[in-house]
Amino acid sequence: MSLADLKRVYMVLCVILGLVIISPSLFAVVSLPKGEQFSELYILDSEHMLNIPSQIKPNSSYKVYLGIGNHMGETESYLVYAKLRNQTEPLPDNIAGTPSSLAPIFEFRVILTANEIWEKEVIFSFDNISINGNVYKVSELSINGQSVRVDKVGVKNNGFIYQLFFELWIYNRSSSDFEFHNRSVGFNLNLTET
Amino acid sequence: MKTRVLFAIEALACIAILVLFAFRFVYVGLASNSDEARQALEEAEVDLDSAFKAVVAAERAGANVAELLNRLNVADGFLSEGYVDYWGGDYSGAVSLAASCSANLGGVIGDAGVLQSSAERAQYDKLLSTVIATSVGLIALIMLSFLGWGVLKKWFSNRVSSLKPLAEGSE
Repeated sequence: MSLADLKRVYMVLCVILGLVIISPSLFAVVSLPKGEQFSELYILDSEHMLNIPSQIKPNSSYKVYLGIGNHMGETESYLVYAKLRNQTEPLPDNIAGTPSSLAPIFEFRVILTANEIWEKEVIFSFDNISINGNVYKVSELSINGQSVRVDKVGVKNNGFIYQLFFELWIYNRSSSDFEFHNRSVGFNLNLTET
Repeated sequence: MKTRVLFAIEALACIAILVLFAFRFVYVGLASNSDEARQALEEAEVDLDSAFKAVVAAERAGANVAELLNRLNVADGFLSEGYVDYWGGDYSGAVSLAASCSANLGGVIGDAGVLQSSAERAQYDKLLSTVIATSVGLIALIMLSFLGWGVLKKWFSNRVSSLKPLAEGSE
């Protein structure tokens, strides 16, 4: 090894040491990219599994867990609207990113820090049901002890009678309002007479 | 007899007019409760929005806002219940819950501001000490690198010199 080679190696080692010394200041100024940002919305049954009830008896209570996960990289404020539809009424449009035009019957609000997961028990029951052949009318839906007047007519055919679904909305700080976050979950319900 | 009949007709007419007015006032009463409830909820929502923005700003500055977030979530819960009551026609319940929401937000913006200021000061102090330490380290590295190169060069030269007599001897 010649002196020139030794000098080169020595300079490289000094530069590496210099970068190590300067790195705390660099990290204080430079912000690293956050990675993919998203929110999750899910429903689990009372055992935290995926066996969501679908055959519902009138005036009987059923429990599911509604969950939200914040992976947006910072604290976010969320709003979940619960909506009830029959087969003919609209769902949210996940392609266009628009919510269902149905009015909400219940709502949940929560503020979550980055990477925080929130779960809430949702105990619901269908009350005051009238059945006329294959036409069902639900007057009231009880969610977490609060009765909500729905007056929803559904027809029993090959599919479901009703669908209870939840839309996730997120607070937009620029517009100071909630906007649909293009996430929704729901489950189909068929009412049995007994 | 005629007087009695006339009196009865007049009495019925008065009662009819009173009933009509009563309906009018009840209708106005119900409408104003609905409007009041809506307004109360919207005002609580504005309060919550302002508090949320202040807490998030403090969090971005590096403050520990866990306690403030708990208070926001409690207020959020009241507001949710208020809207559910409103949709269900329980306007007085909605107004009461909106008031509870706003009450829970008392002092949050101020506390968030104080935390944000403290966090920004701490961040500045930390940055300043980091920059000073880095500068001192770099200066020390430059000086020591020159010194070290001088020592290394001398050592290398001595080593080359000690190997030269061996090479000349072998010739």
